[in-house]
Amino acid sequence: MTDSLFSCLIENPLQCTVVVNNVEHQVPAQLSVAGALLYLGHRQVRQHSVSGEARAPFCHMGVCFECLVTINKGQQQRACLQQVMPNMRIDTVTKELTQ
Amino acid sequence: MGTCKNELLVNLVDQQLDHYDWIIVGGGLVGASIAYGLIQKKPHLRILVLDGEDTDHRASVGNFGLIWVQGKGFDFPAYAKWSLKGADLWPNFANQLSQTSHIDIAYERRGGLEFALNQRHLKALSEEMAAMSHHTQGDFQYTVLDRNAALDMQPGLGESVAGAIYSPQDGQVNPLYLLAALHKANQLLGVKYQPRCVVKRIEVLAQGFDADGFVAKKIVLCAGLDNERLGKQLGMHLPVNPVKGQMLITQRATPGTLKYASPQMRQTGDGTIQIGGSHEHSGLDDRSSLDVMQTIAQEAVAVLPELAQLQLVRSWGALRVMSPDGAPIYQRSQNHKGAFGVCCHSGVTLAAAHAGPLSSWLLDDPNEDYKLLIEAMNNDRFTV
Repeated sequence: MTDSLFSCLIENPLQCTVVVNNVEHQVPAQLSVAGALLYLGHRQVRQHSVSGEARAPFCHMGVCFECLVTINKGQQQRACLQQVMPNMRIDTVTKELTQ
Repeated sequence: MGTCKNELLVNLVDQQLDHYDWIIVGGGLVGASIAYGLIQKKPHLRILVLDGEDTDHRASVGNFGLIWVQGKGFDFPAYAKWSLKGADLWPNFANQLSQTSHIDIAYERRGGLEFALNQRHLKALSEEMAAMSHHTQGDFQYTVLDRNAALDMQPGLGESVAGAIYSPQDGQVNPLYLLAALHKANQLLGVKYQPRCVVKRIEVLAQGFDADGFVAKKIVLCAGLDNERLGKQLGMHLPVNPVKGQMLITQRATPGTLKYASPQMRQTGDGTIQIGGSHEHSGLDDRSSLDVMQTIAQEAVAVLPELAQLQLVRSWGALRVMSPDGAPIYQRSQNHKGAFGVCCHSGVTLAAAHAGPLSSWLLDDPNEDYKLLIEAMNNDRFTV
């Protein structure tokens, strides 16, 4: 994780606690999971399975499947199609690149 | 003058050059492979490929990408030999095409597995393979695998898999890159290409043919499902029918999730898993439907349960170009010298054969063995 490239434009947003890769964070409650990951400074959520390239949320509308993460230990799913929920467990599929 | 010729927006064809040596009607895998073969053998030939609309039914952009020998022509010896020779020509063809086009078409020949979900199916498959081996004088190689032997080759198989057939001669390719590579190579080699040109009318001239205003000495119909309509205009009976196949693509999985290609599923070079293998007679309706998608997904999960963990990213339907017996039709017009029809459902498997021996046959310069094979697949077999 690095400094975020994104900031929240909503003033005084409601906060929501999520657990990303076993670490608790506060994020604006209106965000999608993909938005929350970008807000928290994640620049990679998975690796391309063949090339190993870093991948991150891209289309934010369910088409590109670049934002697949594991939510609440279930199957991988598109982070852009889920809104954050209190105490949601989000696991990015690969380790972060070294900073 | 036909409608295409009057379209000013298309400037890819040299309008000054009114006469071609060959017109290929259809720019799918079959037409593009033949154009590639012709121009390679005779670089001076003036060849024009007339392609249809983007929205036409295009088997070449909806297919599975297998170079598949197993079972092809088990009841038709010429087709069995032709499929095997076609697959054997593929390595050189792929190499040369990649070099010419600078496109990596993701060709590989690691062999293929066809899974049987019960003993009866395994026995039926074994009998087909034995017939193919007989037709090819043993050149077709295969192994019948029981469940344990199949598990050695593909770990994680579902409980219901009774066994499999393995053939080292099957392979796979990215069919979209293949089509792109053929078109790029053809362009570099001087083949002219006219898109958005659905040929309406072919006139027979004193010496040659006029396809909606484009004139050539010789003409090959490679228009897929439209071949039947166009064939009639040249006195050729080219019976073809659409057979729909539906396909699913999963998210990218770890390479090697599927070790070998199979008719029901294969892992692409990009890591995604392509699932297919349905057959429906539903006319020109190429839409995907939930019930068939569920069926093919369930069958794939029955073979490899871990696939259930993967998300689907896309689905589509496409229409196979099927002759009454499923084998290709290579037809020379009896009434009009210089007119040919090529109908086939295996545009990928046979791409190397079409660029190689079939093109030689069209140029009237075939090796005798190939000539016999090709001419055994003419339409006489449908004459009642």
